[in-house]
Amino acid sequence: MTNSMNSVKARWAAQMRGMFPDARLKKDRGTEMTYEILPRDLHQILAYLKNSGWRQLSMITGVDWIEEGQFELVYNLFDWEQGLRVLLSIRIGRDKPQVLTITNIYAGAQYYEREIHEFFGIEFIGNEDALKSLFLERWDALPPLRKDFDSRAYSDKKYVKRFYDPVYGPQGGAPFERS
Amino acid sequence: MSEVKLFFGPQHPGMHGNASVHLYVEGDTVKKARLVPGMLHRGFEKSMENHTWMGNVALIPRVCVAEPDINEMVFAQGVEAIAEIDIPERAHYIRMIIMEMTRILAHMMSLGAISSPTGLYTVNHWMQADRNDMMDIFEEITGHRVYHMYIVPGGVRRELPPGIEKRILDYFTEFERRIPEYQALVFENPTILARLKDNILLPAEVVWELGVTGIGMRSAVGKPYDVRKVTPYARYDQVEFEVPVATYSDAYTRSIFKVIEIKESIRIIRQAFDMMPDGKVNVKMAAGNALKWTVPKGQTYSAVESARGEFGYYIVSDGKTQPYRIAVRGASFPQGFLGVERYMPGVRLDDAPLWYDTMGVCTPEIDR
Repeated sequence: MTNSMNSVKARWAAQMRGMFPDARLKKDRGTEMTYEILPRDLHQILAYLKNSGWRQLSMITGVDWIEEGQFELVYNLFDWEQGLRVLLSIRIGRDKPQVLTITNIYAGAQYYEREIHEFFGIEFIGNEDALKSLFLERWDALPPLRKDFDSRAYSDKKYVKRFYDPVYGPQGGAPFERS
Repeated sequence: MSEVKLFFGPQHPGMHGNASVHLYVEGDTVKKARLVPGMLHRGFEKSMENHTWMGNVALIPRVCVAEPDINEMVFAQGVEAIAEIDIPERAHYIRMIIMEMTRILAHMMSLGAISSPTGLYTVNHWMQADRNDMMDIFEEITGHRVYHMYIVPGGVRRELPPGIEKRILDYFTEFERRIPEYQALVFENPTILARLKDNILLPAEVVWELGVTGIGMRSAVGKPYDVRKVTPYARYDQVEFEVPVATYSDAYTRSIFKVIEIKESIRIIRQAFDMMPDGKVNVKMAAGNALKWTVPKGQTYSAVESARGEFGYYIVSDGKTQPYRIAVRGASFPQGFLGVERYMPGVRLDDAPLWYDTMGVCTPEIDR
Protein backbone atom coordinates (compact mmCIF):
# COMPACT_ATOMS: atom_id res chain seq x y z
CA MET A 1 0.00 0.00 0.00
CA THR A 2 1.43 3.35 -1.04
CA ASN A 3 1.58 6.48 1.09
CA SER A 4 -1.03 8.34 -0.92
CA MET A 5 -3.41 5.43 -0.47
CA ASN A 6 -2.70 5.42 3.24
CA SER A 7 -3.64 9.06 3.52
CA VAL A 8 -6.83 8.48 1.53
CA LYS A 9 -7.65 5.66 3.91
CA ALA A 10 -6.90 7.75 7.00
CA ARG A 11 -9.10 10.57 5.72
CA TRP A 12 -11.90 8.18 5.00
CA ALA A 13 -11.59 6.50 8.40
CA ALA A 14 -11.78 9.90 10.10
CA GLN A 15 -14.93 10.72 8.13
CA MET A 16 -16.43 7.44 9.16
CA ARG A 17 -15.69 8.19 12.82
CA GLY A 18 -17.30 11.59 12.58
CA MET A 19 -20.45 10.41 10.87
CA PHE A 20 -21.04 7.16 12.69
CA PRO A 21 -19.68 7.46 16.24
CA ASP A 22 -21.15 4.06 17.19
CA ALA A 23 -19.13 2.24 14.54
CA ARG A 24 -16.11 0.66 16.18
CA LEU A 25 -13.02 -0.21 14.16
CA LYS A 26 -12.27 -3.72 15.29
CA LYS A 27 -9.36 -4.71 13.09
CA ASP A 28 -7.26 -3.01 10.45
CA ARG A 29 -5.27 -5.37 8.25
CA GLY A 30 -4.00 -2.78 5.79
CA THR A 31 -6.35 -3.40 2.89
CA GLU A 32 -9.11 -4.86 5.03
CA MET A 33 -10.97 -2.98 7.74
CA THR A 34 -13.51 -4.58 10.04
CA TYR A 35 -16.13 -2.40 11.71
CA GLU A 36 -18.54 -3.45 14.39
CA ILE A 37 -21.71 -1.45 13.94
CA LEU A 38 -25.22 -1.30 15.38
CA PRO A 39 -27.98 -2.95 13.36
CA ARG A 40 -29.90 0.34 13.21
CA ASP A 41 -26.96 2.07 11.47
CA LEU A 42 -26.50 -0.65 8.87
CA HIS A 43 -28.52 0.83 6.01
CA GLN A 44 -27.18 4.32 6.47
CA ILE A 45 -23.60 3.11 6.44
CA LEU A 46 -24.16 0.84 3.45
CA ALA A 47 -25.77 3.66 1.48
CA TYR A 48 -22.91 5.98 2.38
CA LEU A 49 -20.28 3.40 1.41
CA LYS A 50 -21.98 2.53 -1.85
CA ASN A 51 -21.89 6.19 -2.87
CA SER A 52 -18.26 6.61 -1.86
CA GLY A 53 -16.75 3.86 -3.95
CA TRP A 54 -17.67 0.52 -2.41
CA ARG A 55 -19.84 -0.45 -5.33
CA GLN A 56 -19.44 -4.16 -4.91
CA LEU A 57 -21.03 -6.37 -2.31
CA SER A 58 -18.70 -9.35 -2.19
CA MET A 59 -20.75 -11.46 0.15
CA ILE A 60 -22.92 -11.59 3.23
CA THR A 61 -22.30 -14.30 5.72
CA GLY A 62 -23.38 -15.35 9.16
CA VAL A 63 -21.59 -16.65 12.23
CA ASP A 64 -23.38 -18.35 15.11
CA TRP A 65 -21.99 -17.25 18.49
CA ILE A 66 -24.06 -19.67 20.50
CA GLU A 67 -22.40 -19.03 23.85
CA GLU A 68 -23.18 -15.34 23.65
CA GLY A 69 -26.66 -16.04 22.30
CA GLN A 70 -26.01 -13.98 19.19
CA PHE A 71 -25.77 -14.21 15.45
CA GLU A 72 -23.20 -12.13 13.68
CA LEU A 73 -23.85 -10.96 10.13
CA VAL A 74 -20.88 -9.80 8.11
CA TYR A 75 -21.38 -7.55 5.09
CA ASN A 76 -18.34 -7.66 2.86
CA LEU A 77 -17.80 -4.66 0.55
CA PHE A 78 -14.97 -4.03 -1.86
CA ASP A 79 -13.81 -0.85 -3.54
CA TRP A 80 -11.97 -1.84 -6.71
CA GLU A 81 -10.56 1.64 -7.28
CA GLN A 82 -8.77 1.96 -3.93
CA GLY A 83 -8.40 -1.76 -3.31
CA LEU A 84 -9.88 -1.36 0.14
CA ARG A 85 -12.20 -3.92 1.69
CA VAL A 86 -14.66 -3.07 4.45
CA LEU A 87 -16.30 -5.73 6.57
CA LEU A 88 -19.32 -4.51 8.53
CA SER A 89 -20.39 -6.78 11.31
CA ILE A 90 -23.67 -6.58 13.18
CA ARG A 91 -24.89 -8.72 16.07
CA ILE A 92 -28.50 -9.76 16.60
CA GLY A 93 -30.19 -11.92 19.22
CA ARG A 94 -30.44 -15.63 18.57
CA ASP A 95 -34.14 -16.08 19.31
CA LYS A 96 -36.41 -14.94 16.52
CA PRO A 97 -33.57 -13.29 14.59
CA GLN A 98 -34.74 -10.60 12.21
CA VAL A 99 -32.97 -7.96 10.19
CA LEU A 100 -34.06 -5.63 7.39
CA THR A 101 -33.10 -6.63 3.86
CA ILE A 102 -30.48 -4.62 1.98
CA THR A 103 -31.65 -5.59 -1.51
CA ASN A 104 -32.83 -2.01 -2.11
CA ILE A 105 -29.20 -0.86 -1.74
CA TYR A 106 -27.30 -3.84 -3.16
CA ALA A 107 -29.53 -5.89 -5.48
CA GLY A 108 -26.99 -8.69 -5.45
CA ALA A 109 -27.80 -9.37 -1.80
CA GLN A 110 -30.96 -11.23 -2.70
CA TYR A 111 -29.51 -14.71 -2.89
CA TYR A 112 -27.00 -14.24 -0.09
CA GLU A 113 -29.91 -13.41 2.19
CA ARG A 114 -31.81 -16.40 0.98
CA GLU A 115 -28.84 -18.64 1.68
CA ILE A 116 -28.41 -17.23 5.18
CA HIS A 117 -32.10 -17.68 5.90
CA GLU A 118 -31.80 -21.29 4.92
CA PHE A 119 -28.62 -22.07 6.85
CA PHE A 120 -29.12 -19.90 9.96
CA GLY A 121 -32.85 -19.23 10.06
CA ILE A 122 -32.41 -15.46 10.06
CA GLU A 123 -35.38 -13.67 8.58
CA PHE A 124 -34.78 -10.77 6.22
CA ILE A 125 -37.76 -8.43 6.43
CA GLY A 126 -38.70 -7.15 2.99
CA ASN A 127 -37.13 -9.99 1.03
CA GLU A 128 -40.04 -12.36 0.42
CA ASP A 129 -37.92 -14.46 -1.88
CA ALA A 130 -35.54 -15.29 0.95
CA LEU A 131 -38.18 -17.36 2.72
CA LYS A 132 -38.10 -20.03 0.04
CA SER A 133 -35.67 -22.92 0.25
CA LEU A 134 -32.59 -22.88 -1.97
CA PHE A 135 -30.09 -25.69 -1.51
CA LEU A 136 -31.87 -27.99 0.91
CA GLU A 137 -35.01 -29.51 -0.43
CA ARG A 138 -37.67 -30.37 2.17
CA TRP A 139 -35.40 -29.67 5.11
CA ASP A 140 -37.01 -30.84 8.33
CA ALA A 141 -34.56 -29.93 11.09
CA LEU A 142 -32.78 -26.94 12.60
CA PRO A 143 -31.01 -24.69 10.09
CA PRO A 144 -27.82 -26.68 9.58
CA LEU A 145 -25.11 -24.09 10.12
CA ARG A 146 -26.33 -23.30 13.63
CA LYS A 147 -23.91 -24.62 16.18
CA ASP A 148 -26.59 -26.63 17.99
CA PHE A 149 -27.27 -28.66 14.85
CA ASP A 150 -25.41 -31.95 15.08
CA SER A 151 -24.81 -33.51 11.67
CA ARG A 152 -24.05 -36.95 13.08
CA ALA A 153 -27.22 -37.09 15.22
CA TYR A 154 -29.32 -35.88 12.30
CA SER A 155 -27.89 -38.48 9.98
CA ASP A 156 -28.45 -41.24 12.54
CA LYS A 157 -32.06 -40.20 12.99
CA LYS A 158 -32.82 -39.61 9.34
CA TYR A 159 -31.23 -42.55 7.60
CA VAL A 160 -31.48 -46.25 8.32
CA LYS A 161 -28.24 -47.66 9.62
CA ARG A 162 -27.13 -50.49 7.42
CA PHE A 163 -25.22 -53.44 8.79
CA TYR A 164 -23.50 -55.99 6.66
CA ASP A 165 -22.78 -59.50 7.79
CA PRO A 166 -20.45 -60.88 5.18
CA VAL A 167 -19.91 -64.59 5.03
CA TYR A 168 -16.50 -65.55 3.71
CA GLY A 169 -16.08 -68.63 1.59
CA PRO A 170 -13.18 -71.06 1.90
CA GLN A 171 -11.17 -69.09 -0.68
CA GLY A 172 -12.42 -65.79 0.60
CA GLY A 173 -14.66 -65.60 -2.46
CA ALA A 174 -17.74 -64.09 -0.86
CA PRO A 175 -18.43 -60.45 -1.62
CA PHE A 176 -16.75 -58.11 0.78
CA GLU A 177 -18.91 -55.16 1.75
CA ARG A 178 -18.20 -52.48 4.23
CA SER A 179 -20.81 -50.73 6.31
CA MET B 1 -47.66 -19.85 -28.54
CA SER B 2 -47.74 -21.71 -25.27
CA GLU B 3 -45.01 -21.74 -22.68
CA VAL B 4 -43.05 -24.94 -22.17
CA LYS B 5 -40.92 -25.80 -19.18
CA LEU B 6 -37.54 -27.32 -19.98
CA PHE B 7 -34.69 -28.46 -17.80
CA PHE B 8 -31.16 -27.43 -18.71
CA GLY B 9 -29.22 -29.90 -16.59
CA PRO B 10 -28.39 -31.70 -14.34
CA GLN B 11 -27.57 -34.15 -17.15
CA HIS B 12 -26.73 -31.95 -20.09
CA PRO B 13 -23.46 -31.69 -22.02
CA GLY B 14 -23.48 -27.89 -21.64
CA MET B 15 -24.01 -27.91 -17.88
CA HIS B 16 -20.98 -27.50 -15.63
CA GLY B 17 -21.56 -29.79 -12.71
CA ASN B 18 -24.84 -31.14 -11.50
CA ALA B 19 -27.20 -28.22 -11.29
CA SER B 20 -30.34 -27.52 -13.16
CA VAL B 21 -31.63 -24.37 -14.80
CA HIS B 22 -35.39 -24.47 -15.10
CA LEU B 23 -36.26 -22.69 -18.32
CA TYR B 24 -39.70 -21.50 -19.32
CA VAL B 25 -39.57 -21.30 -23.07
CA GLU B 26 -41.90 -19.79 -25.66
CA GLY B 27 -40.94 -20.76 -29.19
CA ASP B 28 -37.18 -20.83 -28.78
CA THR B 29 -36.92 -17.78 -26.55
CA VAL B 30 -36.30 -18.14 -22.86
CA LYS B 31 -39.02 -16.31 -20.94
CA LYS B 32 -38.08 -17.18 -17.39
CA ALA B 33 -35.08 -18.95 -15.87
CA ARG B 34 -34.15 -20.11 -12.39
CA LEU B 35 -31.06 -21.92 -11.20
CA VAL B 36 -32.06 -24.83 -8.98
CA PRO B 37 -29.04 -26.01 -7.01
CA GLY B 38 -28.90 -28.63 -4.28
CA MET B 39 -27.91 -31.69 -6.29
CA LEU B 40 -24.26 -31.00 -5.64
CA HIS B 41 -24.61 -29.79 -2.08
CA ARG B 42 -22.08 -31.58 0.10
CA GLY B 43 -22.26 -29.39 3.18
CA PHE B 44 -18.67 -28.19 2.95
CA GLU B 45 -19.07 -25.25 5.29
CA LYS B 46 -20.47 -27.44 8.08
CA SER B 47 -17.95 -30.14 7.36
CA MET B 48 -15.02 -27.73 7.64
CA GLU B 49 -16.09 -26.88 11.19
CA ASN B 50 -15.75 -30.56 12.08
CA HIS B 51 -12.23 -31.01 10.70
CA THR B 52 -8.90 -29.88 12.09
CA TRP B 53 -7.10 -26.99 10.40
CA MET B 54 -4.69 -29.35 8.68
CA GLY B 55 -7.37 -31.97 7.98
CA ASN B 56 -9.28 -29.34 6.05
CA VAL B 57 -6.50 -29.17 3.47
CA ALA B 58 -7.70 -32.51 2.13
CA LEU B 59 -11.31 -31.37 2.06
CA ILE B 60 -11.31 -27.89 0.57
CA PRO B 61 -9.88 -28.50 -2.94
CA ARG B 62 -13.07 -30.38 -3.66
CA VAL B 63 -15.11 -27.18 -3.55
CA CYS B 64 -14.24 -26.39 -7.16
CA VAL B 65 -13.40 -29.27 -9.43
CA ALA B 66 -11.88 -27.52 -12.43
CA GLU B 67 -9.72 -25.17 -10.38
CA PRO B 68 -8.96 -26.72 -6.98
CA ASP B 69 -5.82 -24.83 -5.96
CA ILE B 70 -7.59 -21.51 -5.40
CA ASN B 71 -9.27 -23.09 -2.39
CA GLU B 72 -5.98 -24.20 -0.88
CA MET B 73 -4.52 -20.76 -1.52
CA VAL B 74 -7.32 -18.72 0.10
CA PHE B 75 -7.39 -21.08 3.04
CA ALA B 76 -3.63 -21.00 3.57
CA GLN B 77 -3.50 -17.23 3.10
CA GLY B 78 -6.33 -16.63 5.54
CA VAL B 79 -4.88 -18.87 8.23
CA GLU B 80 -1.47 -17.23 7.85
CA ALA B 81 -3.08 -13.79 8.14
CA ILE B 82 -4.89 -14.70 11.36
CA ALA B 83 -1.83 -16.39 12.85
CA GLU B 84 0.42 -13.56 11.56
CA ILE B 85 3.00 -15.91 10.12
CA ASP B 86 5.35 -15.06 7.27
CA ILE B 87 6.17 -17.83 4.86
CA PRO B 88 9.50 -18.30 3.02
CA GLU B 89 10.08 -16.28 -0.13
CA ARG B 90 10.51 -19.37 -2.28
CA ALA B 91 7.09 -20.67 -1.26
CA HIS B 92 5.44 -17.51 -2.62
CA TYR B 93 6.94 -18.12 -6.04
CA ILE B 94 6.03 -21.81 -6.06
CA ARG B 95 2.48 -20.86 -5.09
CA MET B 96 2.32 -18.40 -7.96
CA ILE B 97 3.46 -21.05 -10.43
CA ILE B 98 0.82 -23.47 -9.14
CA MET B 99 -1.90 -20.81 -9.18
CA GLU B 100 -1.15 -19.79 -12.75
CA MET B 101 -1.00 -23.40 -13.92
CA THR B 102 -4.37 -24.06 -12.39
CA ARG B 103 -5.78 -20.90 -13.97
CA ILE B 104 -4.68 -22.24 -17.35
CA LEU B 105 -6.34 -25.58 -16.55
CA ALA B 106 -9.61 -23.82 -15.75
CA HIS B 107 -9.48 -21.64 -18.85
CA MET B 108 -8.81 -24.71 -21.00
CA MET B 109 -11.81 -26.40 -19.47
CA SER B 110 -14.11 -23.47 -20.12
CA LEU B 111 -12.79 -22.93 -23.66
CA GLY B 112 -13.40 -26.61 -24.27
CA ALA B 113 -16.90 -26.17 -22.95
CA ILE B 114 -17.70 -23.91 -25.90
CA SER B 115 -17.73 -27.12 -27.91
CA SER B 116 -20.93 -28.58 -26.55
CA PRO B 117 -23.28 -25.68 -27.28
CA THR B 118 -21.70 -25.04 -30.68
CA GLY B 119 -21.33 -28.65 -31.74
CA LEU B 120 -17.61 -28.47 -32.43
CA TYR B 121 -16.35 -31.22 -30.18
CA THR B 122 -12.81 -31.06 -31.54
CA VAL B 123 -12.10 -28.11 -29.27
CA ASN B 124 -12.99 -30.10 -26.22
CA HIS B 125 -10.89 -33.10 -27.24
CA TRP B 126 -7.81 -30.97 -27.90
CA MET B 127 -8.24 -29.07 -24.65
CA GLN B 128 -8.74 -32.20 -22.62
CA ALA B 129 -5.61 -33.71 -24.15
CA ASP B 130 -3.59 -30.66 -23.13
CA ARG B 131 -5.16 -30.67 -19.69
CA ASN B 132 -4.09 -34.27 -19.34
CA ASP B 133 -0.44 -33.44 -19.99
CA MET B 134 -0.64 -30.63 -17.47
CA MET B 135 -2.15 -32.99 -14.91
CA ASP B 136 0.82 -35.31 -15.44
CA ILE B 137 3.04 -32.42 -14.42
CA PHE B 138 0.87 -31.81 -11.36
CA GLU B 139 1.18 -35.48 -10.52
CA GLU B 140 4.94 -35.21 -10.56
CA ILE B 141 4.93 -32.11 -8.35
CA THR B 142 2.25 -33.03 -5.85
CA GLY B 143 1.48 -36.73 -6.26
CA HIS B 144 -2.10 -35.98 -7.28
CA ARG B 145 -3.73 -35.23 -10.59
CA VAL B 146 -6.96 -33.41 -9.85
CA TYR B 147 -6.98 -32.30 -6.21
CA HIS B 148 -3.43 -31.42 -5.33
CA MET B 149 -3.48 -30.49 -1.61
CA TYR B 150 -0.12 -28.89 -2.22
CA ILE B 151 -0.53 -25.35 -0.89
CA VAL B 152 -0.82 -25.66 2.88
CA PRO B 153 -0.81 -23.10 5.69
CA GLY B 154 2.87 -22.25 6.17
CA GLY B 155 4.01 -22.63 2.58
CA VAL B 156 3.79 -25.57 0.22
CA ARG B 157 3.86 -29.23 1.15
CA ARG B 158 7.21 -30.17 -0.36
CA GLU B 159 10.02 -28.95 -2.59
CA LEU B 160 9.59 -29.02 -6.36
CA PRO B 161 11.02 -32.23 -7.84
CA PRO B 162 14.35 -31.88 -9.69
CA GLY B 163 14.05 -31.13 -13.38
CA ILE B 164 10.46 -29.95 -13.16
CA GLU B 165 11.35 -26.47 -14.37
CA LYS B 166 12.47 -27.81 -17.74
CA ARG B 167 9.42 -30.03 -18.03
CA ILE B 168 7.00 -27.18 -17.32
CA LEU B 169 8.76 -24.70 -19.60
CA ASP B 170 8.99 -27.27 -22.42
CA TYR B 171 5.30 -27.95 -22.05
CA PHE B 172 4.47 -24.27 -22.36
CA THR B 173 6.81 -23.75 -25.32
CA GLU B 174 4.97 -26.51 -27.12
CA PHE B 175 1.60 -25.21 -25.96
CA GLU B 176 2.37 -21.67 -27.13
CA ARG B 177 3.23 -23.03 -30.53
CA ARG B 178 -0.25 -24.48 -30.75
CA ILE B 179 -2.20 -21.44 -29.50
CA PRO B 180 -2.56 -20.03 -33.06
CA GLU B 181 -4.06 -23.37 -34.08
CA TYR B 182 -6.62 -23.11 -31.31
CA GLN B 183 -7.40 -19.57 -32.27
CA ALA B 184 -7.91 -20.60 -35.87
CA LEU B 185 -10.14 -23.44 -34.79
CA VAL B 186 -12.35 -21.43 -32.44
CA PHE B 187 -12.04 -17.73 -33.05
CA GLU B 188 -11.74 -17.70 -36.82
CA ASN B 189 -14.44 -20.25 -37.29
CA PRO B 190 -17.52 -18.64 -38.88
CA THR B 191 -19.90 -21.07 -37.18
CA ILE B 192 -18.66 -20.21 -33.74
CA LEU B 193 -18.20 -16.51 -34.49
CA ALA B 194 -21.83 -16.25 -35.52
CA ARG B 195 -22.81 -17.57 -32.12
CA LEU B 196 -20.35 -15.51 -30.09
CA LYS B 197 -20.15 -12.06 -31.70
CA ASP B 198 -22.65 -9.49 -30.41
CA ASN B 199 -24.42 -12.19 -28.51
CA ILE B 200 -25.05 -12.50 -24.75
CA LEU B 201 -24.12 -8.98 -23.72
CA LEU B 202 -23.05 -7.96 -20.25
CA PRO B 203 -23.28 -4.17 -19.76
CA ALA B 204 -21.31 -2.41 -17.03
CA GLU B 205 -24.47 -1.49 -15.08
CA VAL B 206 -25.36 -5.15 -14.83
CA VAL B 207 -21.86 -5.94 -13.57
CA TRP B 208 -22.31 -3.51 -10.68
CA GLU B 209 -25.88 -4.57 -10.03
CA LEU B 210 -25.05 -8.25 -9.67
CA GLY B 211 -21.53 -7.98 -8.30
CA VAL B 212 -19.90 -9.89 -11.17
CA THR B 213 -16.10 -10.04 -10.97
CA GLY B 214 -13.30 -11.45 -13.07
CA ILE B 215 -13.35 -11.53 -16.85
CA GLY B 216 -17.00 -10.49 -16.97
CA MET B 217 -16.28 -7.34 -14.99
CA ARG B 218 -13.06 -6.39 -16.77
CA SER B 219 -14.54 -6.89 -20.23
CA ALA B 220 -17.44 -4.56 -19.40
CA VAL B 221 -16.02 -1.90 -17.11
CA GLY B 222 -12.76 -1.33 -19.00
CA LYS B 223 -10.52 -1.17 -15.92
CA PRO B 224 -7.95 -3.76 -14.76
CA TYR B 225 -10.00 -4.84 -11.75
CA ASP B 226 -8.05 -7.97 -10.96
CA VAL B 227 -7.35 -9.01 -7.35
CA ARG B 228 -3.75 -9.74 -8.41
CA LYS B 229 -3.36 -6.07 -9.42
CA VAL B 230 -5.63 -4.29 -6.93
CA THR B 231 -4.55 -6.04 -3.72
CA PRO B 232 -1.57 -8.18 -4.75
CA TYR B 233 -1.06 -11.40 -2.82
CA ALA B 234 1.88 -13.86 -3.02
CA ARG B 235 4.44 -11.97 -5.14
CA TYR B 236 2.22 -10.72 -7.94
CA ASP B 237 3.50 -7.20 -7.34
CA GLN B 238 7.00 -8.36 -8.36
CA VAL B 239 6.14 -9.83 -11.76
CA GLU B 240 5.01 -8.09 -14.90
CA PHE B 241 1.77 -9.02 -16.58
CA GLU B 242 -1.07 -7.36 -18.42
CA VAL B 243 -4.75 -7.71 -17.64
CA PRO B 244 -6.93 -7.48 -20.75
CA VAL B 245 -9.77 -4.95 -20.51
CA ALA B 246 -12.62 -3.84 -22.77
CA THR B 247 -15.78 -1.82 -22.57
CA TYR B 248 -17.97 -4.01 -24.72
CA SER B 249 -18.64 -7.41 -23.27
CA ASP B 250 -20.15 -9.99 -25.58
CA ALA B 251 -19.57 -13.73 -25.57
CA TYR B 252 -16.68 -13.30 -28.01
CA THR B 253 -14.79 -10.78 -25.87
CA ARG B 254 -15.14 -12.88 -22.76
CA SER B 255 -13.90 -15.98 -24.59
CA ILE B 256 -10.92 -14.38 -26.31
CA PHE B 257 -9.89 -12.87 -22.95
CA LYS B 258 -9.30 -16.40 -21.72
CA VAL B 259 -6.73 -16.97 -24.46
CA ILE B 260 -5.01 -13.68 -23.60
CA GLU B 261 -4.99 -14.58 -19.91
CA ILE B 262 -3.46 -17.97 -20.68
CA LYS B 263 -0.60 -16.21 -22.49
CA GLU B 264 -0.11 -13.82 -19.58
CA SER B 265 -0.13 -16.71 -17.11
CA ILE B 266 2.64 -18.41 -19.05
CA ARG B 267 4.57 -15.13 -18.87
CA ILE B 268 4.13 -15.05 -15.09
CA ILE B 269 5.31 -18.65 -14.73
CA ARG B 270 8.49 -17.94 -16.72
CA GLN B 271 9.27 -14.88 -14.60
CA ALA B 272 8.57 -16.76 -11.40
CA PHE B 273 11.07 -19.46 -12.33
CA ASP B 274 13.68 -16.77 -13.08
CA MET B 275 13.11 -14.84 -9.88
CA MET B 276 12.62 -17.75 -7.51
CA PRO B 277 15.21 -17.72 -4.69
CA ASP B 278 16.57 -20.88 -3.07
CA GLY B 279 15.64 -21.81 0.43
CA LYS B 280 12.98 -23.45 2.51
CA VAL B 281 9.50 -23.97 1.13
CA ASN B 282 7.52 -24.08 4.34
CA VAL B 283 7.50 -23.10 7.98
CA LYS B 284 5.76 -24.85 10.83
CA MET B 285 2.57 -23.14 11.88
CA ALA B 286 3.06 -24.29 15.45
CA ALA B 287 5.21 -26.67 17.38
CA GLY B 288 4.27 -30.33 17.55
CA ASN B 289 1.84 -32.49 15.65
CA ALA B 290 0.29 -30.80 12.60
CA LEU B 291 -3.10 -32.27 13.45
CA LYS B 292 -3.11 -30.64 16.87
CA TRP B 293 -2.04 -27.10 16.17
CA THR B 294 -4.34 -24.24 16.93
CA VAL B 295 -4.88 -20.87 15.27
CA PRO B 296 -5.24 -17.76 17.46
CA LYS B 297 -8.59 -16.04 17.77
CA GLY B 298 -9.46 -13.80 14.87
CA GLN B 299 -11.32 -13.43 11.63
CA THR B 300 -10.36 -12.40 8.14
CA TYR B 301 -11.52 -12.49 4.57
CA SER B 302 -8.95 -13.81 2.18
CA ALA B 303 -9.41 -13.52 -1.57
CA VAL B 304 -7.61 -14.52 -4.74
CA GLU B 305 -8.28 -14.00 -8.43
CA SER B 306 -9.66 -17.22 -9.80
CA ALA B 307 -10.35 -17.90 -13.46
CA ARG B 308 -13.88 -16.62 -12.86
CA GLY B 309 -13.18 -13.70 -10.57
CA GLU B 310 -12.81 -12.90 -6.92
CA PHE B 311 -12.82 -16.11 -4.90
CA GLY B 312 -12.67 -15.83 -1.14
CA TYR B 313 -13.08 -17.47 2.21
CA TYR B 314 -14.28 -15.71 5.32
CA ILE B 315 -12.46 -17.51 8.13
CA VAL B 316 -13.29 -17.28 11.82
CA SER B 317 -11.09 -18.89 14.46
CA ASP B 318 -11.90 -19.15 18.14
CA GLY B 319 -8.45 -20.36 19.07
CA LYS B 320 -9.20 -24.08 18.91
CA THR B 321 -7.92 -26.93 16.77
CA GLN B 322 -10.80 -26.58 14.33
CA PRO B 323 -12.14 -23.55 12.46
CA TYR B 324 -15.15 -21.90 14.07
CA ARG B 325 -16.65 -20.94 10.75
CA ILE B 326 -15.56 -20.79 7.13
CA ALA B 327 -17.77 -19.20 4.52
CA VAL B 328 -17.04 -19.62 0.83
CA ARG B 329 -17.55 -16.85 -1.68
CA GLY B 330 -17.83 -18.68 -4.97
CA ALA B 331 -16.73 -16.38 -7.76
CA SER B 332 -19.76 -17.32 -9.85
CA PHE B 333 -22.40 -16.91 -7.14
CA PRO B 334 -23.74 -13.53 -8.39
CA GLN B 335 -24.10 -14.44 -12.06
CA GLY B 336 -25.17 -18.00 -11.25
CA PHE B 337 -28.21 -17.01 -9.23
CA LEU B 338 -29.34 -13.44 -9.83
CA GLY B 339 -27.72 -13.32 -13.25
CA VAL B 340 -29.58 -16.39 -14.50
CA GLU B 341 -32.84 -15.12 -13.00
CA ARG B 342 -32.65 -11.59 -14.41
CA TYR B 343 -30.58 -11.78 -17.57
CA MET B 344 -30.96 -15.23 -19.05
CA PRO B 345 -34.55 -14.48 -20.16
CA GLY B 346 -34.43 -13.12 -23.68
CA VAL B 347 -31.67 -15.35 -25.02
CA ARG B 348 -32.44 -18.15 -27.42
CA LEU B 349 -32.80 -21.63 -26.03
CA ASP B 350 -29.67 -22.91 -27.79
CA ASP B 351 -27.67 -19.98 -26.41
CA ALA B 352 -28.51 -20.86 -22.80
CA PRO B 353 -25.49 -23.20 -22.42
CA LEU B 354 -23.31 -20.55 -24.09
CA TRP B 355 -24.61 -17.98 -21.61
CA TYR B 356 -23.76 -20.30 -18.76
CA ASP B 357 -20.26 -20.98 -20.04
CA THR B 358 -19.15 -17.51 -21.10
CA MET B 359 -20.50 -15.87 -17.94
CA GLY B 360 -18.15 -18.21 -16.11
CA VAL B 361 -20.47 -20.18 -13.88
CA CYS B 362 -18.97 -23.10 -11.96
CA THR B 363 -21.73 -24.95 -10.14
CA PRO B 364 -19.69 -26.79 -7.48
CA GLU B 365 -18.48 -23.54 -5.94
CA ILE B 366 -22.04 -22.17 -5.79
CA ASP B 367 -23.53 -25.33 -4.37
CA ARG B 368 -20.55 -26.42 -2.24
